[in-house]
Amino acid sequence: MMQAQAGAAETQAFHASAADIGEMDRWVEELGARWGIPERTVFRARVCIAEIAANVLEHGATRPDGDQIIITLRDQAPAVEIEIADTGKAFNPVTSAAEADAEADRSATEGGRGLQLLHSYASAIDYKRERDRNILLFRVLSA
Amino acid sequence: MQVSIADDTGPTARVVLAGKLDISGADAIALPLATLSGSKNAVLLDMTGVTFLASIGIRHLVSASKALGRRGGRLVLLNPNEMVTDVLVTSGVSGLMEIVRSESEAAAALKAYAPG
Repeated sequence: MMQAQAGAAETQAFHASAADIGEMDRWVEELGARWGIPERTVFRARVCIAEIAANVLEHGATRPDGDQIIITLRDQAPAVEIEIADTGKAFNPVTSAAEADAEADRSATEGGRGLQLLHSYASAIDYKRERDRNILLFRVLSA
Repeated sequence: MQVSIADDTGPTARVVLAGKLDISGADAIALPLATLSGSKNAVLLDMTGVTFLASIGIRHLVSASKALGRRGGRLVLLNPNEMVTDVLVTSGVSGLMEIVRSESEAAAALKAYAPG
């Protein structure tokens, strides 16, 4: 894992693997505690990050040696800004939201909840595809 | 995620979960939950010790709820914390399972599915 720190912003790179998704959750939890971000905000940020990372792992893999997920957290009290860059297949969670909502509305289905949680917990969601990477930027603020 | 089957001797089962119900936690509960939801009248999941819930974990809860529901049974969640409850409500699945807040509520919920 690589690490860079610049004031109230930190970046960390992870592999798109179940083990590293656990590591990224511990990292976000620890950083949130260190920065004094409200527990509820950190929890929601962890949910959003877990959903995007799981999506890369389950549906977006492109590299036989494993994809990479690079997360940047910026402390913008009372909110936290999150940037997630990944080397997986192109996937825009902004335009996919309507489809996810429709699937989630079918209450008998098991899937379709991840994007619904992302859109409920995050705001100012912005997506771009740049140099074969998905780059997702959003903010999380406790309700 | 720690999964302990506390009681599965009767028509209902009680399972105690502790830790994160994330991608790894979902793997841990998949088999025991599928087995119990396919064979019991009702399953009580003690969620008191669950500290995190992601959609991959919800997927298994909904699947268990559906399996039990098809046979007239019910999935009962005991005491998920405030933030885990928020995830259940926000994702729209809280209506598919019963959430109880005390042992007495849990006992009452299970009694309906354990005749005799």
